[in-house]
Amino acid sequence: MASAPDDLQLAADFAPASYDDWRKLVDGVLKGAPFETLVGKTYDELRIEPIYPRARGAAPIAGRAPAAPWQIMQRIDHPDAAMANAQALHDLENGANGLTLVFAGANGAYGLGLEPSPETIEKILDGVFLDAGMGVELQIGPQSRMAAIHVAEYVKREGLSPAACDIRFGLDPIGACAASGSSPYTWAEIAPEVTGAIKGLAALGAAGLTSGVGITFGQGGALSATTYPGAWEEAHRSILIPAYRRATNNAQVNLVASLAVVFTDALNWHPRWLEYGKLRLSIAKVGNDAPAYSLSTRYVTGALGKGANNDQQQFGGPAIRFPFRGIAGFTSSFQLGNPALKPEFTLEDEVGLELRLFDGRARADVSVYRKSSYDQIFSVPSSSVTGFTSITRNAGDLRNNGVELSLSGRPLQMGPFSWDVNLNWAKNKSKVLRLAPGVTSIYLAGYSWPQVRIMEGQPYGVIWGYGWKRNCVAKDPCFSGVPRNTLLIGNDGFPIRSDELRNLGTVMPNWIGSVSSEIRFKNLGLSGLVDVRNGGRIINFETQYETDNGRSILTADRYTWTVQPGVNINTGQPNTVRVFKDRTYYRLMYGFDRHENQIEPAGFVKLREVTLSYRLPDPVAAWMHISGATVYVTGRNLGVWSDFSLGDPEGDVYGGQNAGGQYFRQFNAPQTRSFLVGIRSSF
Amino acid sequence: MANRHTMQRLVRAARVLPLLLILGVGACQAFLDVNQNPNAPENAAVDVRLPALITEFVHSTYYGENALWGAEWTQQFSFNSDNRSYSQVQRYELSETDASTAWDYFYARTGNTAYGIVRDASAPADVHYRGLGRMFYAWTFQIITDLWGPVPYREAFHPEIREPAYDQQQTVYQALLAQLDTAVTELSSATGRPPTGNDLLYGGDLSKWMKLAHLLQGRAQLRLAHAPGEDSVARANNALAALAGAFTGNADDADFIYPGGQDARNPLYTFQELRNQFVGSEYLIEMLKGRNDPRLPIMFTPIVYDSVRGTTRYPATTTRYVGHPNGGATLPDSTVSWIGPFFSNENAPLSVASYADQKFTEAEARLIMSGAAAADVPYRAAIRANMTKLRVDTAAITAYLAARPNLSAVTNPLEEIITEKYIANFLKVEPWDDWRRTGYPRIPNPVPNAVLPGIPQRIRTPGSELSNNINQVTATGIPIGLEGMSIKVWWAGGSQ
Repeated sequence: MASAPDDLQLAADFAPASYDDWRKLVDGVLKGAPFETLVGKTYDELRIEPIYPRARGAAPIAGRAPAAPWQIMQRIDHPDAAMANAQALHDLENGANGLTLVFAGANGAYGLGLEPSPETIEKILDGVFLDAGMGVELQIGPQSRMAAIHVAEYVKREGLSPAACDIRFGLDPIGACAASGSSPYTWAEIAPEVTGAIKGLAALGAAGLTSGVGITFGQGGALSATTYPGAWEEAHRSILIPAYRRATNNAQVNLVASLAVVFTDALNWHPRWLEYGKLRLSIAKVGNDAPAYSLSTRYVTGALGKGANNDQQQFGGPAIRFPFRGIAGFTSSFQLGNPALKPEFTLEDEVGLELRLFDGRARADVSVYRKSSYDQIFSVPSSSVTGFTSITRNAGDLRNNGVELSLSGRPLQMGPFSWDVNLNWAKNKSKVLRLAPGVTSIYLAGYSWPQVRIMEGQPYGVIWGYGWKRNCVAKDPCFSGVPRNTLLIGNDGFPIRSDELRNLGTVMPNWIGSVSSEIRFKNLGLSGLVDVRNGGRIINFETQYETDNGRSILTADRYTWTVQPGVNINTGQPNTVRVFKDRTYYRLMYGFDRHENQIEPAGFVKLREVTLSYRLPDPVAAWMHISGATVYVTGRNLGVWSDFSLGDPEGDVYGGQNAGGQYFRQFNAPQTRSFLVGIRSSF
Repeated sequence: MANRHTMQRLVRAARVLPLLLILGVGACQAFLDVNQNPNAPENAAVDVRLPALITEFVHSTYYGENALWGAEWTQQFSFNSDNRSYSQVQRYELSETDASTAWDYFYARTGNTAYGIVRDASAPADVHYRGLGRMFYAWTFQIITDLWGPVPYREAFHPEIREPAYDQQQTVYQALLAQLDTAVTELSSATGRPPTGNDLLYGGDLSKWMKLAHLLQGRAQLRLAHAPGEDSVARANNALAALAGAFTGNADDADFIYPGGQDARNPLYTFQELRNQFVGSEYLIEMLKGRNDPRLPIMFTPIVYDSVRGTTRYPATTTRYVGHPNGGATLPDSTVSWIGPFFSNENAPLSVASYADQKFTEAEARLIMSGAAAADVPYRAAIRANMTKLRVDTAAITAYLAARPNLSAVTNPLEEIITEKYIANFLKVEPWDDWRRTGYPRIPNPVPNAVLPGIPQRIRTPGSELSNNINQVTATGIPIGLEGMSIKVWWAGGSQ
């Protein structure tokens, strides 16, 4: 609007219009109805006129300096820092000259948003030249307000001249108050903070500081093109699912579409070896509900423990229960309800092939699937300062893809002798795509540490605990010339517990399979089943107790000397210090917070079942007045071959409630071997 | 295969069926509201939340683990072994889980309930409930900040703020003193309905609640007297002004009644249940013996048999009181005195705020304002009040007081006041607060094999905050591990 219409020559051919001309036309249209019907009102009763003349005496508020070029700002809000950086660089290379960094909790975040941590900001701005004439705007919310400070620190750290940067810090306490309806601080507290921040930035060397008060509105973002499979999920998550929810008002409709083609018939192709072949395709969408009563916060009858601290009851002495002294008492629950909870979605695509070969002597069945779950509902822990220790949230997106294979056949058939074999194999790869902003991990099993948990970017079920300090890992010392991951040993000859909790492996297997086989000879049958699980790890929480009590096989060579393999943490030279294997040794190696030695491989090969059966001949059955009977002897869990120190890694302390619970072992009852004898008859 | 007639009937029936289904589904609506849980309502009147608040506060916030950590560290009782199953509390060790269970309870139970009552008692008729809720809100925060120093206050109880920032202890104290002022105003309102039987502490007597609020104000003011940057005379003056409206005698004491029996026991019943683990401390028992204190037989039990012979068949020849040295090795069962039944019975009343404690606070304030002679009067009144409460007979009280020199003749009157206060506040958290503030009584510091260089000055950072709010925790600059327990809180001379 910088140039006046006078510059447009064409417009000069028409007489300038006045308000009265317009009003005359309007009255003609209204045909006697009052003009007031055209006047709108906001919720606060402010009038909205149908037309406004140009304000007199008002100076135009320049959106930018006159004759200055427009700044093309692109919105960056991907919760994954690496992807956000990719977004930013892609946009900048393709013509944008500014970035709007939307942080979690901002007015226009809509559930997405960057994490306001210094590491994230460093990653996002990696490769972005802040002092090269580009603009950066920060949109932050109450919980991401540290982002402004981290960006300023980043500028300082990188040695950039603040005067050359064009950064809008987006400190907007009034906007936040307007959006959420309340503010935890009074204006008297906010004002000095804001001026203090401005002073701090000026002190850092920022020039041309201006401040304005504004309310930011959400901006639509373009869907950034990423390679498949990311784009497919991105499309689902940001377009299809929200549209579906809006259209159906969160109702759940489960849909399946499947297509099967018996291609041998369709193409009329019947070679000798292939009798029947079918190709299957299916797409399914299934929803899942939240646990009952998750939508609102409840009041529960009080029941209090936590009297005197004592040794037998670690968490408190005599409990009391309401009604107490005849009076009822209610207190608010520890779990915050979430009225904005949405149902979970799972979308699954599957392609399968079923073949019958060699006159029905062999069958093959292969499926390849990809399953994505969105908005999985979890109870997420929160700081108890909020008044609640956990919140039910749509906290995660998870993807599983894999292959399932099943082969069966009868390799041998000679008269009364036959041999059937059945082989199953399945491989599943899971990945947690995304956790809700602010959720760093979700607990599945274990203690504060070690813990089996869900973390973003990791497979489902990651073991989190203290490891050993290793060469060039995380912030541990790094010696060149020594291989990465070598154990670092202290001057006392013992490896050193890491300072921080680490990823120590995953619980999920690489693949699982089974082979079953049956041999028949006339009325006799012999069958067996072998189960295999490859990969995955299990936390053996019994180790620390058993080594401390001297009952573990690991302590069989006690009271001898040993040297820990590795290099000294101070010198980088191979360790030569001898240590004596006494009780202190075992406590330092296998104790309470030495988790690496408590994590063991959970793969196994098991002979699950062997059955010997004999079918009674028909005359005998007839004599017994039954149509048939079979006598059998079965043995189950006959043998286990595994690297697990206690033999059989199956069996969990949580009673099989959750996939993560099966890989935490703490004095649960072991699996049993059993033998059965029976007779199965039909009448 | 059904015959033709059956088929026809079925077909006819099938036509009607959809209609029935539609009608049936409509009728279900009224019965099914799946979001209502009859056992856990979405709303609860403030009337029914008040008893829960009072009990949560008394049973598990004012008492609960933290009181007994303090009482153990100041050597009022002892754990009869040098080795416990979990944290070695006797050696000043606490785990981050111990700190979590207390912290989570204070914020997510007591604090949240108090906050909820203040928020929901917005009707004019509920003004007294609002005042009570506010009083407990302030008192809970006083306990939280006394234990941890800098804690979140302004951003607490806002679930949308997922990483609440920490406030300095000075800020929290200023705010809670203001809250107590407002609470007093609200409690003194002429309109509004007072609580009745649902008031488990005072039975609806608002005048006593107001006196209690004044006591809390006075105590809080005095606690700040020697904080860095504070004018002790001004604070002492404020304390005396507040205490003028506080308790007038033992009859005003806040004693919480426990009926006893399953699910209704005094929390100190643990001292009876597990009496061979929790025993009297040698330091306190020897102190009482040295002062010929008539409260000794009430606070502790005599050992019941001659330890030389080692059996219960031989009656003790003289009543003897023997305590266990804190942090020392195990003493054989029944060779060491237990906590007396006056305190540890399952139906013993639990003292939450006492006239005696108030008088000691007044004595200390007068000492600051006017000197030892002025402090002597409330000092003696406090001892008398506490002994009367413990049912010591009058003659013994008079004899004991006569043996105590006047404070103006004592070299260190503050030490004398705090030492008597320490005895009167048996098994509460106050002695640890007073020791941190004044250094009295002169407890053996540290115990043998301690994990810290001295008696702890605060509780360590809770594990739940480390998991859920780590950024704000590190922003306070306080070490997060066991060494954080040696950092002084602000009113004890620390920086935050």
